[in-house]
Amino acid sequence: MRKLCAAVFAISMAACLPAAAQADYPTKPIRLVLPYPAGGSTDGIARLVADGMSRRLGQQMVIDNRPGAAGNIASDLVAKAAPDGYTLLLGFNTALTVTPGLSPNLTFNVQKDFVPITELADGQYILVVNPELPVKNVAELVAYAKENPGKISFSSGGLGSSHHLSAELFMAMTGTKLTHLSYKGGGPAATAVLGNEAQMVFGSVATTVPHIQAGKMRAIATTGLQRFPALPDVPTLDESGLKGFDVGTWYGLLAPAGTPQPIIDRLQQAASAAVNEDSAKSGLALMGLRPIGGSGKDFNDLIVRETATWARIIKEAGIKLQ
Amino acid sequence: MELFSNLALGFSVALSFHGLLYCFVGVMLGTFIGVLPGVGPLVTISVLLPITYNLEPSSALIMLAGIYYGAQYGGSTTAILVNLPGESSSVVTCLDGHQMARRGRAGPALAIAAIGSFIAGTVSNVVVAAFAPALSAWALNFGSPEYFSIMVLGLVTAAVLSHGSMIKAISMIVLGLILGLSGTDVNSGTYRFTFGLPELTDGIDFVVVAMGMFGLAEIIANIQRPEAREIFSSKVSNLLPSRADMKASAWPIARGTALGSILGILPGTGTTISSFMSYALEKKFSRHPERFGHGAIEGVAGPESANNAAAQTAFIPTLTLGIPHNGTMALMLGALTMFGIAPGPQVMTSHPDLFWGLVASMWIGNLMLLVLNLPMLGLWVKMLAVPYRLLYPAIVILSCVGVYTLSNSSLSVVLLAVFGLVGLVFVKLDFAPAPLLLGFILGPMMEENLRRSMVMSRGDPSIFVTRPMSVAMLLIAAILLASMLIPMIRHKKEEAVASDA
Amino acid sequence: MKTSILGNKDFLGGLLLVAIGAGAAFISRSYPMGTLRQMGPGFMPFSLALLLMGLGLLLALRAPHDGEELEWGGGLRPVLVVLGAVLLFAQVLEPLGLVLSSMILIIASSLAHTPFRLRETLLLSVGLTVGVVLLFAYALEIPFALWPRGL
Repeated sequence: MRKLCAAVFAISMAACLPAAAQADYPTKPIRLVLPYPAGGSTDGIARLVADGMSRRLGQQMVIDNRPGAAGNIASDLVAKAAPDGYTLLLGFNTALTVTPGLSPNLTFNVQKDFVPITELADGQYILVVNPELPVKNVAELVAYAKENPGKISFSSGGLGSSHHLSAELFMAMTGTKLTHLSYKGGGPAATAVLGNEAQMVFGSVATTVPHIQAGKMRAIATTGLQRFPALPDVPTLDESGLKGFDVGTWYGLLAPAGTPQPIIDRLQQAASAAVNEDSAKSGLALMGLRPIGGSGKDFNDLIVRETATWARIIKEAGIKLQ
Repeated sequence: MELFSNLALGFSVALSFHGLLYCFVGVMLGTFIGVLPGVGPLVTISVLLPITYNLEPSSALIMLAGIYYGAQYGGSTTAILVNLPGESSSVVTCLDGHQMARRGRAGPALAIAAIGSFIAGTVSNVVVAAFAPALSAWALNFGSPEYFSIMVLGLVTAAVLSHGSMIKAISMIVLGLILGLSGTDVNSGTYRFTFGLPELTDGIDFVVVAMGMFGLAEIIANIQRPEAREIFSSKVSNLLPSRADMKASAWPIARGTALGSILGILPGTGTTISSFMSYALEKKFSRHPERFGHGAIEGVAGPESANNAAAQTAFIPTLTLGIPHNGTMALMLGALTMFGIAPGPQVMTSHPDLFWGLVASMWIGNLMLLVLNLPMLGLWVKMLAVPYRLLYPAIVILSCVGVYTLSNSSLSVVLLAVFGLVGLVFVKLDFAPAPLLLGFILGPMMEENLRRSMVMSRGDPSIFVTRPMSVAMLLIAAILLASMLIPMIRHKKEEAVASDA
Repeated sequence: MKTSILGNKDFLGGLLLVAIGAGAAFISRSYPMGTLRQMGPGFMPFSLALLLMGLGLLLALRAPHDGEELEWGGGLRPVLVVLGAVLLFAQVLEPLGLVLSSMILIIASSLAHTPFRLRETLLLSVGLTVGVVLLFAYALEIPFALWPRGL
């Protein structure tokens, strides 16, 4: 019943949306739906972006935290919202590109139900090991793992998380066998490496760089195609012999499909400017993120490309949600 | 002495005009928010976060920390006055604190909570100041098997908590463990006990269960017993604890402080387990354990000290390892990153003003809480004099809206009603809800650590008895269990002999 | 004291636990059990469910010896009215908005108390609603719809 109401409401809104309304958009606060609970660094990113965009659009951007179901609750809500530019999604890579490959019966279709507005920021992961593990680079790690099959454990923030899939991709490309220890989130996963419960992790910048600097973790490689500026001496996996290894994290802004193009353009400009202002840049840099703010088309291509990659890895590694 | 110069630096930050101002603002806001049922520090901090960007990092952190422990303090007030535990650590406070309030002793209950918290805060602050680096290294030795074993110990203490049947207490723990497993399994991604509802894939929120089983059930029970309603106001004795109260509370406060200071360092589990353990400890040490659950002041003093001590030492892993203890701490870490400070082992050396300023401000904040709250006791107690027919709709509406805001979902409100009913039924059948809540909190963590330990040991359960810290905790649990079961069996035998004769 | 087994708290409680345990075991039987080394998602819930059934059985069997008689009393009205009011609130909050649903909840839950005083309750509902709106929608900036959709 509620869904029906929403649908009727959506259609009537779309039908009677006059061009004039688009011209002075936005006339009321915009709801930015976030697939995370209040708290955590992602919430911080959202507030940073919302703050910058509010100032540019002249309307308050209100953050609506709708956590749950690996981001699917938030995605579903926005997918079914009125396409009037007043309900937007702050999406991130796994929820939009991994989940479709993992759970077959989603209530929405990422590529049909959304218009990508812009990719806000991206970042990469860092492959770190506990310093007690006698390896200094990728070649040594692979050799050690082959001599001691199953002896190295990697930690992850849960099944299907980027940490987990990166490790699966690593195993597939190197022919090694590592034991998977899964934790509730990236923070505990990184801590496990500090305590040597797990020997390696594909960790986020925020959870690894301080410990690398303190000598409590050893950086082996980064997961992007370019080296990470804060760690210029650490090679990428791509240049360490795993040709084409390119995994990262990103955040982007999406609207429900059917949102008028002028509104999308307006939002794209505001978002792009918001992430590229100095204060936002420095805030993002600390989380190891790089501001992007590119075109909607680039963002769409990224989603299509990564969805295909992850679907392939998930299939090859035989990962299933039971 | 490095420690003294560090503390001097800390106090110079905390005692600056801005330090004091933001500490005061944070503590006041936190108390206010904590008192409101269902509104947690998480929501408050996330609202205030954008404002803090314009502050100095140390001022911002002082204010956020003030909200955090102020809210914890305020939460105890609600637990004592209206039996609504807004946080896992105040569940235990409900047990005897609310019973004291019902007996007209809300004043002493609130006062001893404030005094105990202050003493615990002071001591644990010294612990943080003196041993932070050593302790954070120690916490790292705590692996999955150790976490599993300490949770077993925690559950055994929960069985001690309840008065009455052991079987019933254990049943409630097991039921709590099962309920806690609801949601997405970390290891396999399987949705368990979600009944096809996407909102349940992240599990049921603790606050919903606690407020339903304690708060809502209590309200209904109170309306059912018209004679019980006005009990609060009728015989309010003195506001402050008597000399005898202080004497009875001295050791519980000391033991609670020690327990909380140590356990607080373990990310994720510390605060809750410490308050439950402290309660069990006091009941064990007491010469009159039968008074517990009927308004024993030791049952408020110990756990309140323990959870406040734990709340302070919880900052150690948060700041030095970058591991947040809970959502609120995660938000504070997020705030730090926004200021250009990466949490991690070098925070203490790279930003000594921030770290030591926070340490000093926590002590000042605790002092402020005490000074602000003692005069407010009278006000709180007067609130109980409001006729119940006007008070309870207010509690209901605040709880419902508060629960809704947890994840902006109506289903949480529906679940609040469901757990209200569950609470009523179990209380009618003489089952105590507190052990269920501990099981609920520990269930998923226990399973996660058990399964991970078994992966690590390649399926060999001896991993739990070959690691020294783990085996020590299991042994204590076994001794505790035996000490409860043996008198019970002996008692039964005597009964049997008596009836034969 | 030991009148009827059907009115015995421990017997009824034991049966309730057995029923809950059976339900949980039934649901968790569809989750993979796994092995001791790689425990599946079904291992813990299934074992705990069996344990709960065992405890319930033990309690029910000992009931004639230990259990006390259940006292009803108190009446069903407060139970039905308060829980009903909360459920009603859950249903109307999103379509009707915060203001109307708060008033509905306050008035409805006040019905649990006898005697019901209309004027006092109306005043209370207005006062509390103003407080709730100020607190949640304005001070805490939670994105609530205040009024019914479409207005």
